Amino acid sequence: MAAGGKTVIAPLPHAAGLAGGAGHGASGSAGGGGREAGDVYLPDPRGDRRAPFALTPLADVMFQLLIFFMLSTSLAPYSLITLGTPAAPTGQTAAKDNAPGGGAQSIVIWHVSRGEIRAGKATLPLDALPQVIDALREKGLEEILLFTTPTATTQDVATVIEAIRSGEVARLRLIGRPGL
Amino acid sequence: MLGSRFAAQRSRRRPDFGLAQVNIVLLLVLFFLVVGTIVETDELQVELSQTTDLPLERLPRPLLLITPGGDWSLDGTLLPHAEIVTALTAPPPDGQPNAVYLLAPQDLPADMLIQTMQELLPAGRTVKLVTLKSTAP
Repeated sequence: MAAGGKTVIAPLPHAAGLAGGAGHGASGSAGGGGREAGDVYLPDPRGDRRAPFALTPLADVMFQLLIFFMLSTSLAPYSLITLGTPAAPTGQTAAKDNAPGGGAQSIVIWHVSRGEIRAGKATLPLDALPQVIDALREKGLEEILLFTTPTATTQDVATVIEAIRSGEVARLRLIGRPGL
Repeated sequence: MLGSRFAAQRSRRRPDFGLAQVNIVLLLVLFFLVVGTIVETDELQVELSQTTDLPLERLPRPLLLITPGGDWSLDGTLLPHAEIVTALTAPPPDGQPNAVYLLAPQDLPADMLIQTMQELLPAGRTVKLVTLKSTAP
């Protein structure tokens, strides 16, 4: 201990802002703070007194965000069926190789109605479509012309398009009734 | 001796559950951000067609809702058909596909669906039908 001085227990130098004193031991600080030359600096035995990072407000905000997203989002069980860009009703804008029979080698014409498909004189339930499409594809099916009837619904059209897409048929044309 | 001192310090330090809690909640927030879609309740008022084999997709925008009465609602706003077509004629924001997504009731007549597509022809957008993925075989 320095004679005439006093013992000071203070925070570490970086926290206390002491001018000359890095490290432990005696440090002379002629400046303010009531400290005088000859005072003995001892580190605070309670350690660094800086405030720790508070997790509670962070957790609160995170919980609020979580509740917001849980309530406002929908775990979307959606699928998309691409219907394509609509063609002109007259069909006159279609190029020759896009016209029915112009480029494809094998075409079938189906009429979709409530829960069933009519192909020529045959009528098939929509459930049988995957097998029919597989059989037709093995025979070289390339294009399907799908006409709607007054009883057909959006669900029927979606079911047929899904089966055709799953069957990897190259092309489908959805054709509405004239006069719509 | 040194090892026993470290062991003593380790036993004295209490585990920090707060940080783990924040981590888990952050992961949950990210999960809902990625998987979920913010949906307006108006958009769920129709019963959509169901499919089983198509891949899952998020519900994109712009959403065109067709009511059973034939009215159109674009992203939750009921508008006349012509105004919606005009709005869709504008190019989409950067990075978004040039498409419009139809929310049509499953019992909507197919004729009305095709008529809707014809009305959307001037907009020049690809039309996609939104369906619900059903888990039933």
